[in-house]
Amino acid sequence: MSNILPKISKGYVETDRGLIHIQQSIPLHSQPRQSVADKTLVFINITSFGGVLLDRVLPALAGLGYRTIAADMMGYGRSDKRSGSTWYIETWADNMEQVFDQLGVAPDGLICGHFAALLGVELALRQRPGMKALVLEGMPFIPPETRKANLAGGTPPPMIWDEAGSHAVEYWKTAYKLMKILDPDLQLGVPNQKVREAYIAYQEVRCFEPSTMEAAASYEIEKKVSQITLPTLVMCSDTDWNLKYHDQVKAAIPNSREHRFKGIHPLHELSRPDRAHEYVEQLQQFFSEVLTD
Amino acid sequence: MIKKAYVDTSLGQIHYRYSKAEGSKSLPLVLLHKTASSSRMFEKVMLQLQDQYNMFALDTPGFGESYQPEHVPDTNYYIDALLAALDGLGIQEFNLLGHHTGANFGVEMAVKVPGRVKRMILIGPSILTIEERDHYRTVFGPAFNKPVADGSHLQKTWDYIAKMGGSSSVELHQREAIDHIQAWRGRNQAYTVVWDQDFGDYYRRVTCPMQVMCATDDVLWPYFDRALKAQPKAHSAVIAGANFEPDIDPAGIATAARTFLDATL
Repeated sequence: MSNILPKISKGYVETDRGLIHIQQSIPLHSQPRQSVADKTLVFINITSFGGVLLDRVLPALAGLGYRTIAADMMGYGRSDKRSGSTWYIETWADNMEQVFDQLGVAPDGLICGHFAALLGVELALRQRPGMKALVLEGMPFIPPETRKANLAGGTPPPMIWDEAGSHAVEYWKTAYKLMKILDPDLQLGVPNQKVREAYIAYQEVRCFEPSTMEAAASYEIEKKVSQITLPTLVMCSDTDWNLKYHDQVKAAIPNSREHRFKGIHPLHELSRPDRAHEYVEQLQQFFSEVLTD
Repeated sequence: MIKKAYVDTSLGQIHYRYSKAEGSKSLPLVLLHKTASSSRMFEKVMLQLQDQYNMFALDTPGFGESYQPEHVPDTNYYIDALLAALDGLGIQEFNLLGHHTGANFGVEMAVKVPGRVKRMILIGPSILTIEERDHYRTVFGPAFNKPVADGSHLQKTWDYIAKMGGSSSVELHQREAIDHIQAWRGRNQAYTVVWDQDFGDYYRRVTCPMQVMCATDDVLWPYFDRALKAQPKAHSAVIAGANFEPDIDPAGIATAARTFLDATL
C-alpha cells in the first residue's frame, strides 16, 4: 500500500426514513488514472462494527483508483435509529437504494458481510442498472427449518438498561466474547479503538436487535441466492462463526468464486491492522477482473 | 427537525447537529456542550427553540463524532477549531449558548472575536480562584474512564454520571455513559486545559449582552453569585437539573433564553 493514501471523510445521506452515516475515500487527483477509475465500491457494514473495520481498507482501495463508500445500515453504527413498523430485508434494501440514488452511484461493486450480506443478495436481485459485481462475506445461510423455528420461537427481549449500570459491563463482556470468536488470539490488554467502537455499537443498539433477527429469519435466502446473476465472490475465514455455511453459499450461487482466509479474517485480527492489505488484495483481484468496461 | 452533519476544517471533521427555523431572521444560535457530553445533550432544548432560531450544536474535537486530536495544548486550540467549523458553515455573526466547559469556550471566544459573538448565554459560569481550579483538577482530572480489559471503567463511568446527577432517567444515564466512553481521551484532554484557563478574566472582558443560568444543585452553583457580581448587567435565571439542565429542564432554559434574546434584539 502507498504511504500517501486518500483520507476518509465522514458524512450523512438523507433518506425518507432518516440519516444514513457513511465514510468515503476518494482517489487523489494526483494519482494516475487506472482502468478502475470512476468505479465505485460500496460496503454495507457488519451491523455491530459500523465502518471501523474499514479504516485502512477504504483509503487503500481509493489509492488503487476506486471511489469507496461504507454505509451503516439504518439502526446501526452512526446511522439513525429505525423508526416505523418492522424492518425486513426488503425495507433495508429500499432504504439503501435511496442512499445509492442520493450519492449517484450504481454501485459498480457491492461488498456486504454477515447480516448485511442478506441485504446484498436482495440488492443484487433488483438488477439495478450499473451494478456489476457482488461480494458476500460470512453470510448466514440459515436452513429453512431453522429459520422457521427461530420465527416460531418469538423474538427474545432486548437487553435491558439497568439503573445500577450492570449492563454496561455485561455489554463489554459480550463484545469481547464475540470478538474472541472471530479472533481467538485477541489479547485482553488495553482495548484498541475497534474494540471500543464495537462496544459502543452494542450499547447503542442493545447488542443485536431482536427485530433484526426476525428480519433474517423471515428472509427466504435459499430461494434468493440461486437467482443471482452478477459475478459474485463468496468469502469467509476459518474463525468466522458462519464458516459452516460457506460451501453451501458458494454452491448455491451460479458461477460464483470463493476465497477462504486461512485462520483469522484479516480485518478481524484487531491486533494486526497491517493485515488489511490481504483483504484489499482479494478485492482488487476480483474487481479488476469483473469491472471491465 | 434536528439533523446531523459534518463540516470540514483543516484540523479534521467537526460533527454537528442543526435545526433551521423557516423564515427566521435571528442570528444563528451556536451551542457548545459540557465535558464529556456531545451535541446530543442539546436536542431537547433545540426542539423547544426550533420554531424561532437556526441552531448549530457542535461536537467539540475529541467528543461525540468530531475528530480526535492527538494533543490539545490549551483552550485556545478548541476555540480555533470551533471557529474554523463556523467558518466552514458560513456563520460569521452568531449568538452563543455554552454549558459548563462550553461556557468556558464561550467566554474565550467572545473575547477573541467580539465582533462575531453578539449575545451569549452561559449555563454554569465558573469564576474560580487558582486554588479552586487546582481542587477541580484533582477531582475531575484523574482518567478513571480509560478502557481496561475487565470493563471496570464502565461501572466507574456509570457511577460517576449518577453522582453528577445524570440518573434522573436511564435513557439520559445511558446516553451520557456512551458519550463519556466515546470521549475517554477527549475528556482528559479538556480537563487538562480547562482548569488552566482564567475563566474569570475572560468573563469580565466580555462586552456583548449576556445571560447566565444555573441550577441550585449544579456543582458550579456555589460560584453563580460571583458571575452575577462580575457582570452586573447580565440577565440571569435559576433553572433546574443538577449538571444536566438541558436534559432535565429544557423548557426552563428555552423560556429564559427566548426572553433574553428577544429583549436584547
